[in-house]
Amino acid sequence: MAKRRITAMILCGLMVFSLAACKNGKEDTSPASPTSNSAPVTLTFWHAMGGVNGKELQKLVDQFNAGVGKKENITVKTVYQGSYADLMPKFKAAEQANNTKILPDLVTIPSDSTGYIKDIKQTVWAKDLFEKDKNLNQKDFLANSITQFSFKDQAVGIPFACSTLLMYYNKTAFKEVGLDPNQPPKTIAELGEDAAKLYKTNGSKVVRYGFELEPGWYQLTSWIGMQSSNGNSYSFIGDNRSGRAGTMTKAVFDKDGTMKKFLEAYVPAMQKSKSKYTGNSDQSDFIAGTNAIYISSSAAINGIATGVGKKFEWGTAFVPKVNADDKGGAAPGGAALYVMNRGNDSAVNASCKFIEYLTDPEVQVDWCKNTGYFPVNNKTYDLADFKQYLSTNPYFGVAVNQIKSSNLDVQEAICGCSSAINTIIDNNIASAIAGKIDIDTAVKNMATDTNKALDDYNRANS
Amino acid sequence: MKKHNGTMEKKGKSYYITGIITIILAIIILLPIIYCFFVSFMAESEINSYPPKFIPKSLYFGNYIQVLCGTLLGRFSINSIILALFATVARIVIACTSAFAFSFLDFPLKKFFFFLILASMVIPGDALIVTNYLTVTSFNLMDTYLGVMIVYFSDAMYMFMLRQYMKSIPPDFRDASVMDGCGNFRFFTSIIMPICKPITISVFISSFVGLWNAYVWPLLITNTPEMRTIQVGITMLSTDENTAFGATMAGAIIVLIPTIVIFVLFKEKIISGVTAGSIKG
Amino acid sequence: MQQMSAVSHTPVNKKRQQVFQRIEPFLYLIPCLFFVALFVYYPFIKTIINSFFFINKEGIAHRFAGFTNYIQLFQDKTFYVAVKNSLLYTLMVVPSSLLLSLILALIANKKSMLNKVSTVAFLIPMAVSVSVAAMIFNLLLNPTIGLFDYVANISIPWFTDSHYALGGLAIFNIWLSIGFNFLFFTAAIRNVPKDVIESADIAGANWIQKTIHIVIPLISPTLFFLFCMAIIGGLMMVSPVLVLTKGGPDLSTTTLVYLMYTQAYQNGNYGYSFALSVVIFVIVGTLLALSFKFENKGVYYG
Repeated sequence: MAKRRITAMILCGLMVFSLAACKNGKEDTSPASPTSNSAPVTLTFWHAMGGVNGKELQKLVDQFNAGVGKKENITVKTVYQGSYADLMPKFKAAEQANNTKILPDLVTIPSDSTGYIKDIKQTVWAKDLFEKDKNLNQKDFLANSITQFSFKDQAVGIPFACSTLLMYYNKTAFKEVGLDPNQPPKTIAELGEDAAKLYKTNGSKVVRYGFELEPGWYQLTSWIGMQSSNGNSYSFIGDNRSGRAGTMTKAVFDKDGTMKKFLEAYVPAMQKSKSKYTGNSDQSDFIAGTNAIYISSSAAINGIATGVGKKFEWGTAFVPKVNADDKGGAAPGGAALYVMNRGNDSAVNASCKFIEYLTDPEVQVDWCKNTGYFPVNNKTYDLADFKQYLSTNPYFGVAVNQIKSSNLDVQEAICGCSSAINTIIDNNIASAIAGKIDIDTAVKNMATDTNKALDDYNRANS
Repeated sequence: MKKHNGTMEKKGKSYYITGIITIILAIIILLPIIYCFFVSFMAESEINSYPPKFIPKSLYFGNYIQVLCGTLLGRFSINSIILALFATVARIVIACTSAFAFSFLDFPLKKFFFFLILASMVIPGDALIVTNYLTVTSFNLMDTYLGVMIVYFSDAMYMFMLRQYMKSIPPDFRDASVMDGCGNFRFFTSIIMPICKPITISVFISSFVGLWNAYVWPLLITNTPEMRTIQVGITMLSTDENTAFGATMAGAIIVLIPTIVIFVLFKEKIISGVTAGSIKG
Repeated sequence: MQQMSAVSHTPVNKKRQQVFQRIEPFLYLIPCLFFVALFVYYPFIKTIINSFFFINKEGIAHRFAGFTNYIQLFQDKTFYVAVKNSLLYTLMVVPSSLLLSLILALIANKKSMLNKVSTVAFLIPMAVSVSVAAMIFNLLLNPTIGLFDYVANISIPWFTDSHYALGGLAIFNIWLSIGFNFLFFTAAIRNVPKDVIESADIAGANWIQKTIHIVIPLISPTLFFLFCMAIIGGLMMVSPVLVLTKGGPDLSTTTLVYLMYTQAYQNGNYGYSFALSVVIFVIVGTLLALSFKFENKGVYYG
């Protein structure tokens, strides 16, 4: 009896160790050194596209592998690494291991990590790719997105999954309370008034909120960015052009007065309309009809359309302005594609070919239709196919119009501690709305804490 | 089990009352799971609606189709089983041997080593993950079964549990076996291990389920879909932009099934306690 | 099958035998020590050393910092909020979950027609992973489209109001921990020797008396184990926060390990994070050591 147990355990132990050799059976992408084009190259592509977007990406990759890839002997292997919150730690760990075998050839990195990826030694900057490959031209790419992923006016990443901040509103609910469904609010003040009318209760239970949002770094990028200051029709969150002309060392939204103007519009609007200012159920509440106005990325359009179905009519609109005369527009958001040099030049060349394919105007039409991201290639917007898609898809058309009319300098800041700053902004806005602190105190706190976060970060990284 | 006192009627009433209380409690506790089951048959638009629904209007199989066809569920399950099974066996071997040493053997610095191992439970795991990743990749164990399993081999918690259990075994056993001329190893395998069967089974179940649900480390150490575990696969159904409630619930139900099967299979072992035979003079 | 009687008493063999006896216990310990040393202590010692350096965004310690990271930690008011949250949370969860699981285990052990059903039913929460359970509870406890508030006709924003968020997490974790505690309680209860129970029956003890005076002392080793686990789990709780509340609202659910995690992975503030992990180790280790002081008094070993 005991012998059998021991034998079983020993056998198990042996099996465990024999499985150590058991890999997945696929090719290891070690950087080989052939330089001729006919030698096969396998590219590992790490991304964070799941669900429908992931399927679309896989479809495009398969098409590439079967077409151009077959001709040039290039195979692209995608690896879905989860959401960006999972991909980034994984990439950072692989980078720390200092082992090029683990690193991918291509990787998508979200815009808030541009500051990180630009300093990684294996990153091949987009500007170098443009010089290397004459089929890739910077001017073909959407200007807002190229600027988004540039540092000191040099392109670092290739725009890949681009979106903008957008306002979604429930037209049926608007009609119900006597608001014109074709006149969504244009300023934050108007948003407050409309939301106050849309707020509905049943006894003591709230049946519908006019508006729900817990704003932070992402939304403030647009709401600060769109305002005018220092003689420009755009503004920055921090110095050195929000970190694009050099390292960001302190906040400027206090001395520029932009944060104060934002809070003076936003806080009363939220208080008067009794809107919900914490929580992240704003999307599912909008879909359920218990939240009439919702502000988020334009990439959510398809998800909302599926969720809402035929329950009610809805529309999209430009993000409401802080002041009626703001000209900045909204900031682009999303992720870029980066090429990693793992010591194999033919892999870098192969990556360029893959990027050529992905950013081809016609491929971009398909990409846009199925994912809701903007086409990154300017030529796409001239294609008849795409124009027709826009005309039958008004929700998306609004997003395109907004980004095209936005100032190139309204951009997300490049900063390594954006998360910390997000928490600071988030908490202070919530406290101001709750009436715990007044607006001037909120601005002062935000500036002080932001500067401290930046100091700590820069000191640790100097 | 015969009870030989004369209160048969009283037993009868409490028998049924306990039964009813059990049913009520079971329903309350299982409510979230029952809800999950119903939601898995709802389409997205129905889930996000007000007033909230408990039972779906009609059976929507799209979620299950998405999970079964959209993911490598079969391969994920096999990977999860391999991880959970082998790592659990390794853990039991390691936990039993060290618990035995702490309960029955004497050696210098015994208390120190005990607390050393125990203290490992108190070190926040997230601080260790990256270093472990570097260690495992330096052995070139990326994307391998051993690489996924190796960090789970020693779990101080199970060693602690077994030590508690072994310490409550009367020392007479040890004395009797010494008189029989039994060495430590034989004592361990022939006497202690059989006595510990109930607790070993509990440890097995707990460890298996825990590893079945493991997420962070398998995510980090695997690079290809073929090596992923089932939890990682199911969680990837949601994206940053859109939480796929229905599909994730369907995935959760699918993932739940093997675990429930194991519970049902092992409930006999959990219910039966120490057999009378092992308590001997 | 080595036995003392079978070995001849020559001096060499006796010496060898003595050496073997000295190292034998360690042979049992070595597998455990090896893995714990490699995958827990080696990384942790690296972490401790690194906590005295400035760490850049790539995670590399490049400049000696002395106690700067620790000073930054102790000057940060968020740290004290996290300590408070973790302690409060642990206080909420430990007694409730242990008591609840114990009662369930006792009920499931009572002779009734549904023994098998209850055993399986109460185990099932253990089979659900944290992220899936979080999704279910998020939907259930949503103040507008959630069933719970709708049925109870209240509108408590469980996870979005700073007064209720920690409580909401406590409910969530108590539910999740039912299975694990129940499993070990049941094994321990089933293991109480039948003859002891029978002699109590003969002496005329009722169920409550039997439970308090016999069952509980005899399962006290397990109870102590689960108590320690619950304390550690409570103080180091992080996954539900990551999935459900992200530390908010207003820092009300920022726990110690959550703070450590976000400082490292989101803010790139590795120095702070490492210093914090050392402090967490000290705090929780101290509480654990204190618990063991009570082991001698409260726990009864056969």
